Amino acid sequence: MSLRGPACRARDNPFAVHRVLRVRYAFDAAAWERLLARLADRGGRGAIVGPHGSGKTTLLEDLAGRLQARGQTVRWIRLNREERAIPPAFWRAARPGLGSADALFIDGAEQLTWLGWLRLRFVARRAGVCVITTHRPGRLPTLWTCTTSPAVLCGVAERLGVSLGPDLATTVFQRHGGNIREALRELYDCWSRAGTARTTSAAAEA
Amino acid sequence: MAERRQPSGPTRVFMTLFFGVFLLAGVGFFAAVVPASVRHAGTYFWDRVPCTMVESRVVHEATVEGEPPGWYVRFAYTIDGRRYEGFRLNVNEAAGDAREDLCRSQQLAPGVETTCLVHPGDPSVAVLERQGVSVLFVPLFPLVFVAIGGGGLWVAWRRPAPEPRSGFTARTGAHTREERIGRRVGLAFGGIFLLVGLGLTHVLFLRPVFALIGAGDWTEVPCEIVASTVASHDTDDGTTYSVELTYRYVVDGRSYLSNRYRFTAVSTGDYADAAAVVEQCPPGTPATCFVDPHDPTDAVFDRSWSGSLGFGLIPLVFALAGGGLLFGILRQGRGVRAASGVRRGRWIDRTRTPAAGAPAAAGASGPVVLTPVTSRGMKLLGLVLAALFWNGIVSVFLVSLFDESGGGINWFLALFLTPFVLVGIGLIGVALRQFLALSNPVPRLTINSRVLAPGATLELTWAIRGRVRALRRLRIELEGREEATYRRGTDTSTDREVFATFPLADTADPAAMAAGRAVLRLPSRLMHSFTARNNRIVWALQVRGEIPRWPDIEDAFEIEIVPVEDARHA
Amino acid sequence: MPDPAHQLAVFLPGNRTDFRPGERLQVTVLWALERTPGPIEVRLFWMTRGKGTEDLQVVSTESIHAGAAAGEAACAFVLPAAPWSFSGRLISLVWAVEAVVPALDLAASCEFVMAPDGIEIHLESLAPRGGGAQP
Repeated sequence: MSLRGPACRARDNPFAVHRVLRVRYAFDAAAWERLLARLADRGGRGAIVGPHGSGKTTLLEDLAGRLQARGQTVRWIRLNREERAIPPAFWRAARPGLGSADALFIDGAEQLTWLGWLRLRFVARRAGVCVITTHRPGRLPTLWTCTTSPAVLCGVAERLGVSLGPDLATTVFQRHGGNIREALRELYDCWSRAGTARTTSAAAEA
Repeated sequence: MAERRQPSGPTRVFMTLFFGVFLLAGVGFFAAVVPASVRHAGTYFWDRVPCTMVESRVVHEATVEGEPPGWYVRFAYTIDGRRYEGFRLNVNEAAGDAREDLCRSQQLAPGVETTCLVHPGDPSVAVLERQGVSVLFVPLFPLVFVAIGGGGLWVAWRRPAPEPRSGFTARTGAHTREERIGRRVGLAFGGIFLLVGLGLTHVLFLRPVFALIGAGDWTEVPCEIVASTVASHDTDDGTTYSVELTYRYVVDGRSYLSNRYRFTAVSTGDYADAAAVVEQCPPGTPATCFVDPHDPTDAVFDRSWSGSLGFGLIPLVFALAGGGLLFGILRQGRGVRAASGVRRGRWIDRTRTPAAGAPAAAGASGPVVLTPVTSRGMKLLGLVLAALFWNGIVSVFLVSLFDESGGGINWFLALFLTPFVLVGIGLIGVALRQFLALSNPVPRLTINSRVLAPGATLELTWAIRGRVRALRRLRIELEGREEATYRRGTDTSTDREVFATFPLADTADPAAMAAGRAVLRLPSRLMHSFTARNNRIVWALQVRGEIPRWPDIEDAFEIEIVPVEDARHA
Repeated sequence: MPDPAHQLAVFLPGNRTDFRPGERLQVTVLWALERTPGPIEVRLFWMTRGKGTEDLQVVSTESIHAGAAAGEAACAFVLPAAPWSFSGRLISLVWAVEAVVPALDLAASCEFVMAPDGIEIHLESLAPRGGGAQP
C-alpha cells in the first residue's frame, strides 16, 4: 500500500477531521428534490437508515440546512453510546410544545429506549418535521438508505484532493466492512506515516 | 490505534439463553414466594386478642391418622361476646423448627393464657402467632436471580461502550455513564454479598457461640432418653448425618421434653461419630442435661464447644469479599481513576484546572511521591469474584451433566456448556495471572517537584519494594503521548500515539534496580501537558520490569508539565 | 459562495504570524459591506485539528462599533501563557483571531503561531534523547 504526501502535520493531513467534515453528502439537485418530496409525502416524518460510517449524520445535517433555508427552526438531539438519554434541556425547551415551524432532528435515535422513544414521539407530535438517523429501519418510515462502496470512498478522497487507486480503495473499504468513516481514518494514518517517512529520508539525505 | 469493541453475535445468543433462564427462574420463584410474604405482611394489621390454649401437642413422626409431623394447636378466644376456636399456628401454616416447636408447645401447654392474632374483617380467622420478620424478605432472594438475568441480558444487547478516556474525566473526578452503572452494579453485588454473608455468619456462628456462652451457667439436671436415632440428610455433596435425641427432665415438679442435642445444627459426613453417640444413649438411659434456669423449656444435652462451630465462619468469607468490594469501589470513586492499566500519580492537584492555559505557580516545589491509586489486591478481588460467580453457576450445570452421564452423555447440554466452561477457565487464568502479579515488586517513585516546566530538571528517585531479585531488567522512561478522540454519530474512537520517549533508567544491575536516581533535563521546546474534551497531550513515567516466566511489571505514572508564564513580552 | 457585496478581513501587525505568550496582539479589521453592520465581534481563540474531533476555546472577545458600511478599526488582546501551538501526527493546535458580523452572518479569520519562541512545536522533533538522563 502506498500513499505519497508532503511532510505531514496533523492539520495538513487531507484526511483530518475538519476537512472530512466539510465533505457533504453526494446529492445533486434532483436527488434533493426527491428526498424532500418523500419527506412531504410521509407527513414530515422519516428515518435515514444505514450502517456505521455510511453518511447518515452528514445527510441529516445537509437536510437540516435545507429546511433551515426554508424557514424551519431546526432543533437537534445528538445521541451516542456515552449519552443515550435526551438532555433535560431539550424537555424544558420543548415544554411549550413544538409547532409546524419546528423541525426535530435526532441523530442516533436507536440509542433511545422504547419508553424514551414513545415520550419523544408524544412531544414531537405537532412538530412540522421529525427526522431521525438509525441503523435499522422501523421507528419511522424510511426516507433514505445510505449505502457505501469503494467508489464512494474514492469520491470522498477526490473531494479531499487525494487520488486513490481502485485497488487501495477496495482493500481499505473491505477491511472496514464498508464503514467509510473508519476507512478514512485508516487513510489518515497511511498519509501521515507516508509523509513522515518521506520527511525522514529527506532529512537523512540532507 | 483505534480502540472500539464490536458485539459478537454467537456470544450474544448464548448470553441471551443463559441469562434468560436466570430471569425466568427468578420471576417464577418470585411469583411463588410473594403470596406467602403478602399474607404474612397482612397479619401486621390483625388485632391481638387474649386467648386460652386448649390443645398443644407435637407430632414427631407421621401418625396412623395421616397427620404429618408438626406442632398442632387449638386455642379459644372471644370477640364481641362470641366464642371462637382457632387451629392455625401461623397464616402460612408453615412448619417450624422441630426443637423450637417442642419448646414452644411446652411453653404454651393446654390451659395457658396467651394472645392470638384475629383478622379484623372476619373474627373466625385467627392464628396463634406471626412468623419471623424474615418472611418479608424472602422475595428478595429470587430478585437476585431476576437482577442477574436482567443485567446479563442488558449487557448482551446494549452497545459496548468505548474505552474510558484516561486523564480528563479522571482528573476532574467525573465518571462516564458506563462507569457509574458499573459502580452501582458493583455496589449492589458487594452489598448483597456482605448482607448475606453477615446474616449467615450470625445464624451459623454467632448465635450458637452466644448461646454456648450463655449456657455456661445453666443448671445441670438429670434426664431420661426418650428417643435417639441417627438422622441422614441428602445433599449435593453426598449424605450427612446428625444425632437426633429426645429426652425428658423435671424442673419444679413439672416434666419437660427437649430435643436439642447441641447449639450448632451442623451435620457431618461421619456416620460412625453420630452412631457412637446414639449407641451410648438408647431410650431409657439416664443422663444429664443443662436447663436454662429462667426458662425450663429451654435445654441442651451437650454444651461443649465443638470443632463444627468453625463451619459457621465460612459465610464470613462472602461477607469479607462483599465488604472488600464495597470498600474498593467507594475508595476508588474518591481517588483518581485509572484506565487501560495506567496507574495515576495521586499528587496531581485536582483543584487546579489542568494544562490548557494554566501557568506554573511560582515557587511551587518540593519532592513528591508518586503512588498508585488502584491496588493490585482490589483488581485481584474483582477477578476472583467474577471467576467464582461464573464458575459457580457453570458448575451446577456441569454436575448435572455428569450426574446424567450414567445413561449416556447429553451432547446438546455438553455443547451448550462448552463456551461457558471456556470462559470460566479463561477467568481463572486471568485471576491466577493477577494473583501472581500480586507478589510483583512495587515501584515507588519520587520526583523533585509537582510543577515541572520545559527546560526544568526532573530528578527521579525510585525504590522497588518486594521481590527485587526476581527482576531481570528495569526500564523507566518519560513518555509523551497524543490522544485524539473522534466522535461522530453514535461511534467514538480514541487513537494514541507516543511522540517522545526519554530514557531515565535501563539497568540489569540488582542494586540499581532496587533503588536509584536519575536526572533529566527537559528540553526547553517541550510541549506542555494539554487536556481538552477530545484531544490531549499526556506525559507519563513508564516503569517496565522484566520478570522471567512471570507477569512483568507495567506501571505508568502521569505527571504534568506546565507552561512557564513568560512576562517578558507583557 | 461568499457574497462579493460584503468584504471583511482581519490583519495582524506587519502580517506577522509568530507570537509569544503574554505578548500584546494588535488586530486590524477591515470591512466593506452593503450596509452598516452594527457591532463587529473580534474573537481570540484556539482550536485543534487532526484525527480527533475538533476542540475550540474562545479565549477573549472584543467588540468593535462599526458606524459605517465600510471602515477600519483595531483592537488588542494580551495573549495567554498557554496552550502553545503545536503539531503532531494526531493533533495540531492552531491559534487564530476571527472577526464576525452577526447581523450578516459574515466572518473572517487569521491564523498565527503562539509559542515561547514564536515557532510551532513539532512533537516528533522531540523524539528520543532530547535532554538525556544522568544517574
